[in-house]
Amino acid sequence: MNWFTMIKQQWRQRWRLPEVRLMLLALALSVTAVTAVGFVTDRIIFAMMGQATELQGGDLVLTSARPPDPGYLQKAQSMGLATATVTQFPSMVVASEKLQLAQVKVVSSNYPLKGALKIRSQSTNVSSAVGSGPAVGNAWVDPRLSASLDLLPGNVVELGKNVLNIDAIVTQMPDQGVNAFQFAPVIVINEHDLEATGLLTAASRARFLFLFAGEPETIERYTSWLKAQLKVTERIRTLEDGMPAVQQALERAQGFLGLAALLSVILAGAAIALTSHSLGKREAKSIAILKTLGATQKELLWRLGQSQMLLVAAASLIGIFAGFLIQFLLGFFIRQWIQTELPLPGITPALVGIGTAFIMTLGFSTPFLFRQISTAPMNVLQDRPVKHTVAGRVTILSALGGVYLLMWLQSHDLKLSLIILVATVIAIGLFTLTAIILLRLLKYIARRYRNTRHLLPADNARFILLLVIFGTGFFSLLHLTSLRTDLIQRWSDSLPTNAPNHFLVNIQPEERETFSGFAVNKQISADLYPMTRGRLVAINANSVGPDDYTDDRAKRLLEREFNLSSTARLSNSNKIVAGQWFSADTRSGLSVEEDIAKTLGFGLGDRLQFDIAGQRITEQVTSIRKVRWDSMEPNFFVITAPGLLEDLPKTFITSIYIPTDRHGLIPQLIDEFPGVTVIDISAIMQQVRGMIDKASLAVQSVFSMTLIAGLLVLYAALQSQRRSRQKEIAILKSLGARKRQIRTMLIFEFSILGGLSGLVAAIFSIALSNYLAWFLFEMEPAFNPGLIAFGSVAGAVLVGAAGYLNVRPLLRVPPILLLNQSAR
Amino acid sequence: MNDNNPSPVIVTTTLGKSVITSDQQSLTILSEINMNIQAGESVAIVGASGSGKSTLLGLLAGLDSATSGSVELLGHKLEPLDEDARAQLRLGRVGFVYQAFNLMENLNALENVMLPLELDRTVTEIDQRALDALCEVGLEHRLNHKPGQLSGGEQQRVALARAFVTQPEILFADEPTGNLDAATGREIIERLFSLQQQYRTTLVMVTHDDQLAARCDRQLHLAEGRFLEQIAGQQ
Ligand SMILES: Nc1ncnc2c1ncn2[C@@H]1O[C@H](COP(=O)(O)OP(=O)(O)O)[C@@H](O)[C@H]1O
Ligand SMILES: [Mg+2]
Repeated sequence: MNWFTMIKQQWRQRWRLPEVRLMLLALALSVTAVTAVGFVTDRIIFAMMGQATELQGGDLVLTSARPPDPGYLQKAQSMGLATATVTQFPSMVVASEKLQLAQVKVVSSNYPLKGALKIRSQSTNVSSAVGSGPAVGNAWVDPRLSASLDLLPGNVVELGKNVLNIDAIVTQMPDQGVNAFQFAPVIVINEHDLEATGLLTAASRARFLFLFAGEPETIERYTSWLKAQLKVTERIRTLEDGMPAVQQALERAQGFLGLAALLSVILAGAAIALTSHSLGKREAKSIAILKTLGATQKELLWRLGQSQMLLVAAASLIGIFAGFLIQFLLGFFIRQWIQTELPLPGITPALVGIGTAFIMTLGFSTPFLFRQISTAPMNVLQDRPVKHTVAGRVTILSALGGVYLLMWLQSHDLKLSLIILVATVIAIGLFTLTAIILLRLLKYIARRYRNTRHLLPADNARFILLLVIFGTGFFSLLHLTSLRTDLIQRWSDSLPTNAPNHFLVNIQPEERETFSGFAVNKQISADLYPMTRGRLVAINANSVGPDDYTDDRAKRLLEREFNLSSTARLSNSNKIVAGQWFSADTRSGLSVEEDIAKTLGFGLGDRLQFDIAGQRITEQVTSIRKVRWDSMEPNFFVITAPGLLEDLPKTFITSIYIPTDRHGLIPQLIDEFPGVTVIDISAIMQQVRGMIDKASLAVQSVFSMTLIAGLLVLYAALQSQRRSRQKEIAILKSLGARKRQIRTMLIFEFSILGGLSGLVAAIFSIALSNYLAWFLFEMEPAFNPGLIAFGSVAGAVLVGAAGYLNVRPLLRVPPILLLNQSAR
Repeated sequence: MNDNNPSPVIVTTTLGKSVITSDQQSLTILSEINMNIQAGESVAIVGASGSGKSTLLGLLAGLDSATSGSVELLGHKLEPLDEDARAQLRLGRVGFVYQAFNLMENLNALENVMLPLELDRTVTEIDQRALDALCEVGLEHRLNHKPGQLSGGEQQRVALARAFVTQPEILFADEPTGNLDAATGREIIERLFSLQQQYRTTLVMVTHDDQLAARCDRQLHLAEGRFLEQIAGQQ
């Protein structure tokens, strides 16, 4: 007999067992869930990464204070990358006798490579997306420049020696978020109009940007090539640099999706363990018989291993195929929702799928079967109950290990996996405990009303097992619902609609009083923060420079000047994580942002020396802060104790909220404070908000995946007890029960089961999401009583209906079954 | 007890059962069964394995329906009745003892015995009656044990308590000692007959144990789905 026919024969034998079929289904299901979720999140995360790169106008940006080597562009083009250039410098713009300092943005014809460029032209009052910058002879101005110079499409402006025709107002530009503080109003012109202005000379202060876009691998190869060529003045800009807000949004999105995937994995695990348990029971007899016939444990193990691997292979094949199909369909819808091209998924989810099937078989299924092999055959053949004390513990341990491995496979985060594992174990323990207590309570109550007891769940052990399974299932589903609706809601709520949408920079100390008066007058709230630029020169009297660090970010931080501020009041978007915030009379000390302290390797108690306009100040770090960059408030890496910056050169900065219907305030403000630069950040905010929306949509689609998995697991759980239910129904019938009585009993049992699971699941879901909100996202706790009502009612209806529909065919069982003990 | 008892509780006329096998062939399991069982009588159905004993018992109890002929149970013809109506007929009036015990695995001994009482809305004092029944089989100290925690003999005693708790008119027993060792089997049989005497229950028992069959009033020999002869039991 060759190998193939042997496998075929064995498969045919195993396939006859309903438990094997069920296990294959459950395994294939979990592989499907995992791969589909993997494929989908893969694509969504790729897509969101893409969105983020749109904010900076390209996948990779090179910035320089001097014109970079054009050879960089040629090299990139030869590698197949798309390129564009941007040159920026400040200049005066003149229009009908009015003057305004503006940022001139000179763009090449294929700008931008990534991201939307939107303009509003004369004819239409709506913004529409365009694929490239202004044509030769034309210029676009942003709404601020339009407001301050009364410029409308059709007017002309003088820029240096050139006269350009304004043909549109530019409402959205990709790289607006970067270095927002340095921004003045913007005028965009074509690169071919630059020379005629005569503005750019070798001595001009300008920034040169090269933008690149292309395949991720090519970008990566090009980046490493470029890194080796960089001159001192040249920098590679990555996402993380300019936009901590975007970075945070992305990380959160990824966290949400990871959680969703994790929960569907736990759910599937329950089903596998359940089916394996009954498979083990069923196999017990044949294994015992084989043993009495002389089979050794080793041979039996070999057989077991073979059939398990067969199962893994079959399940992986089916699951990966189904998973790919599902992601294909989901991808189709998601693409419509978020209107972004989704990149193709990678191979990783398929590998994760195979790994999942393997771990699940090993962790959830094999111990149950192994247990049978190690049991003395006499015990099985004589139907003696065997006490598996040690083996039982091994089963639990291996299942836990399996869950942990699976979580890690999903999240690549050992700590997060551990937290969720512990939470799950505690939840299961509490579910079990609650189930026992509630069942006792129900029985006690039922005893007082005659003839109601038989309506109660008949089965302690089975009831509790099902309660745990459904409880876990509902927990996952509810938890995802509350994550989606609750957490994301709370998160976007924490970005109030009247969050600041304009930054005002460059307010002079002598303007401070008048500005405050202006703000009060116009009823806008504006907290002024002093801002001084300083360079970190020493930590604990050891001088530091870029070369002391290998980390890119650390190098950049030391090359640049920090924005230092000084304030007595800690703003809401900051949270002290170590040390103490300045007390009312403190006149020394520094409060630093957590990440920067980590990156530069200093902490509480270290003494930092800054060079501020030639003056040196040395202060001790007295507190470390966590900062919510997406709060849109002015935030600083370093804040000194109040008064410390008193005698140093400084300007003031604030952020204000201007409702759309009061846009006229800006020209007034510029009129009154000509030196102040107004930066409109509502566009950036809109982009961040859009990103959050997309993240929640992604979670929603992953959630629907888990919902399907949950429903199928529910079915599998009910399926696994058909045999014992069949016998019970036959007994009841033989004793004289009518179908209607049996039906009522079943519906009652399942409804109680579902209601109870839903109730407990809701309580746990609220607890866990609060914990996660606090632990991962630092949000305040919130209680949601609606979820408890929803959980129990939905649980009762869902399990009542699904359970009853599942066992309804069994009502037809002929009671004669009880008399025939032959295997029929 | 004798054949002249005026009230038959089970009457069959040309009762037959045939099934369609998986290869689409008609297989006759029972045919031409004519019998008459009087109230209070004990009847043994004996025969080789596969002769159709269990099938016959199931037809008599209305657990299955015949394909020809008719069964009259407790004065009701079973053929026109649907499954629910047959169940109603059995409720409280018919008890069963099986070879494989067939207890509800997930109920304890007491709950198992209470089950037939709970199904009948007119019954009161369920707890007390179930407790009494378990005392009668000597299991008052195992009330809270589940079937899995009881020996075979104990499980069969719970089954006896469940069968007799409603004081049924007829008890159907299908090889009640088949899964038990000889000594335990004897003990169960003693209890069964003593309860049967006590409640004057009609007993229809399937067995292949000649000694056991000999204790019944009558024995019916089944072979290949037909009665060989009707032998009068010990008078
Ligand atoms: N539904 C059925 N389908 C096919 N064969 C059946 C069916 N019911 C009973 N039999 C067959 O009928 C014969 C009698 O069965 P049974 O009444 O259980 O015998 P006994 O109880 O005397 O051992 C057996 O050969 C059995 O396999
Ligand atoms: Mg039989």
